[in-house]
Amino acid sequence: MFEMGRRPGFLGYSSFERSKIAFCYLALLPILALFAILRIIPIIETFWLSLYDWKLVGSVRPFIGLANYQGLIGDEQFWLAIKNTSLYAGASVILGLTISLPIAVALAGKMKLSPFYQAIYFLPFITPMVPMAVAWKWIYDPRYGILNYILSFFGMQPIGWLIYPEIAIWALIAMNVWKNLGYNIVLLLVGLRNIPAVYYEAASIDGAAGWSRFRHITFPLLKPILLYVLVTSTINAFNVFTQVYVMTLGSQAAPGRAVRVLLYDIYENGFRYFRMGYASAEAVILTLIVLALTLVQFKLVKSEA
Amino acid sequence: MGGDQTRIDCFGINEGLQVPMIVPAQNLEGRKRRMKRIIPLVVLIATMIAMVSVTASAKTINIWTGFPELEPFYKWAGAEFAKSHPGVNFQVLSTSLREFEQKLTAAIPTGTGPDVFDVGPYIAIKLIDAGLLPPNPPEVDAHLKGGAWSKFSVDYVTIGGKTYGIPLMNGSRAALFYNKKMFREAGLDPNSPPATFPDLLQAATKLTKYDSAGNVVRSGHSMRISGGGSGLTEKFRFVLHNAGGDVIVPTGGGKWRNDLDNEAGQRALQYYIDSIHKYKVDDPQVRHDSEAFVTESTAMFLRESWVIGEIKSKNPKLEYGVAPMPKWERWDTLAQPWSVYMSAEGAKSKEVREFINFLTGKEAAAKLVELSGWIPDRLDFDWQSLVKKTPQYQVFVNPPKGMGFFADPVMPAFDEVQTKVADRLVEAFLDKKLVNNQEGIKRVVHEIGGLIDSILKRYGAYGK
Repeated sequence: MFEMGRRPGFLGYSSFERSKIAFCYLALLPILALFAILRIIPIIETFWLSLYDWKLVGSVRPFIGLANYQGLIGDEQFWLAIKNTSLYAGASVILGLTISLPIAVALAGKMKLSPFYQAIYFLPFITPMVPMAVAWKWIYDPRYGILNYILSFFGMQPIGWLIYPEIAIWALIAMNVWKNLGYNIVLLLVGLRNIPAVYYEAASIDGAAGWSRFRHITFPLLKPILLYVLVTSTINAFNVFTQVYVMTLGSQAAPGRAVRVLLYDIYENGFRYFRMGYASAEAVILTLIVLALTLVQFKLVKSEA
Repeated sequence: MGGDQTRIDCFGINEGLQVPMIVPAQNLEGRKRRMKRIIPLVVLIATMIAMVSVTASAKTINIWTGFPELEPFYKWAGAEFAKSHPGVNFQVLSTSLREFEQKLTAAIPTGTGPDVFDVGPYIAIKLIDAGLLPPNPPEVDAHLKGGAWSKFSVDYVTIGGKTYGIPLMNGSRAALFYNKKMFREAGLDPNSPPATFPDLLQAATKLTKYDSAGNVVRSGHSMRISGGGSGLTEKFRFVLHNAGGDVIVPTGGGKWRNDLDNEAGQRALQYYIDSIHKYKVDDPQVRHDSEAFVTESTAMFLRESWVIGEIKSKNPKLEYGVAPMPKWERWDTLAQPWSVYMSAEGAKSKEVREFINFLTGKEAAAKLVELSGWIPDRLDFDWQSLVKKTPQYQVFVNPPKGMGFFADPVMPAFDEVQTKVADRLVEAFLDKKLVNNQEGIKRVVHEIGGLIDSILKRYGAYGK
């Protein structure tokens, strides 16, 4: 017996259902095509380039297999870049979340000026990176910077924030945390406000309050948003470039090695030394690192959820 | 349809019908109003098309430079050239040197680069090596070999028997700028500036000013000690070369090796370490470079002639002198032609070639100094009247007898060598543990030497 209006067809779908599915795919096609052109094909092309001794200038580009990857193993600057980028990303994500979560929790309560504070925190995020980096370069200036000026009231000697290797990377991390704080807060606020009040009411009846309420209700129910913030923050932090580029320009700036990050190293190899094949190999490694970290984060947060 | 409200179709819209068409007067008025609106629009579009056609017929020569101080010179040259070449326009783009080099090297291979540009030999050789820069056409070659340039300059731009570009200016001839007022205040004779590097350090100790906590507030000798980039190594070479070494030296057959992992390299690095940490005549946290000299935040520094132009425009009352590069084991200064090039042949080639000849001609040479401070590379340049007007140019245009010159090696690996060495040097300069630590200094120069040789090997340019 057949149901009314439904006839058996390919994979058990009726022709109406098939046309609905086809329509969905058709509607998705332009965006999928764009995604393929702008994302997938360049990634494949980058991997392909990484197998060649591909110079930005020059017509001889021999296939060299995995030689670029072998070169990376012995490249001290590449490992320094990996180390710095990992430190930058790890510290930025951990500090960013640690600071933004309590602020978001406070703003999610019945704070009178909550929207105003949200706007204030969000402002740095929407400010373009280049002028921001220039401004921070001045803030960090050892002689004329406002940071050292403020610290001088506490009897501190001027500090070369962007000059000394052990400080420069942390100066960049502080700037990144500050810039992305608003973004994290807004996302976490969305998550916090979507937690049904009924759980809190039940918790109150059971006598749970404060930390125990946060630990057993807020935190577990916030995990999907936390995962999203964690993944996007990690990807963004691994892609750090602009601030390093802007703040290391000029004769009064950060040392190249102290703040050498992976994208800067890729940029320098590709566009300064014209080693596009080598830079592509670095880009492939960066993609794999970010991909692996994202998968790990997914697994960790999901397994706990 | 009343008579007042109707009009015969006078526009012949319906002529084919042979029937007098009655059109409502209101419609006709509306059509006229529309026409009144359309006519100015048509005129505007026609004017724009005409303007676009005129613009298209004009030739625009794009000029790129990494020296913003050259922009007024290029603009002057463009305006002068256009007088005898109606229909030729110029667009000048200037950015910082490193940004310009990166933009240029990305644009040239894709055919989107400028028509005319000036660039250092370390970048030009990469483009030449890749076949992206054409050799000089016969008329430009003849202009170059017409006797206005020294044999050294002509040889410097000759690669594989062909000449590339025309030397526009002497790109790196460096000398010692010193503040005479500060010399007097420190009890030093402003008429006898330091003649050797040890003298320079000694004078710098007297010229440095400190605050109550012992921090440098005015450096005695401003050295390039931070910021990275190949420029830092270039400045280090002022000391290194005169200490008896260099970054790389030829070993014959187009091969090179490092000349830094030796006593000269150790001496040069120690000079920096002592200056920064032992005698504290400079500090990474104070202002540096021309900015420091112009604002009187340093007493001395080593730089090229363009600084004279900068002082003229930013602090004309500055009381300063320019002395030759100090001696040490050797007495040489960096001096090399900085050339102007045309990109590949195209529709504008004739005008571009003529413009390059004009740009590097005798008439433009005087304007180059006047507008930028850089000195031309031409031999027939009237330097006497220049020196009479601005005595500080004397050292640059009429170097003392006995002083020699050294230049950047024209080979593709050199830019990478300089840039990567700079990164290592910055790290070493900031390392206080290297004070009175000969073993430490020896280890650092050995590491840097190894780095240089490894880069040369990768380029297939290493020789023992």
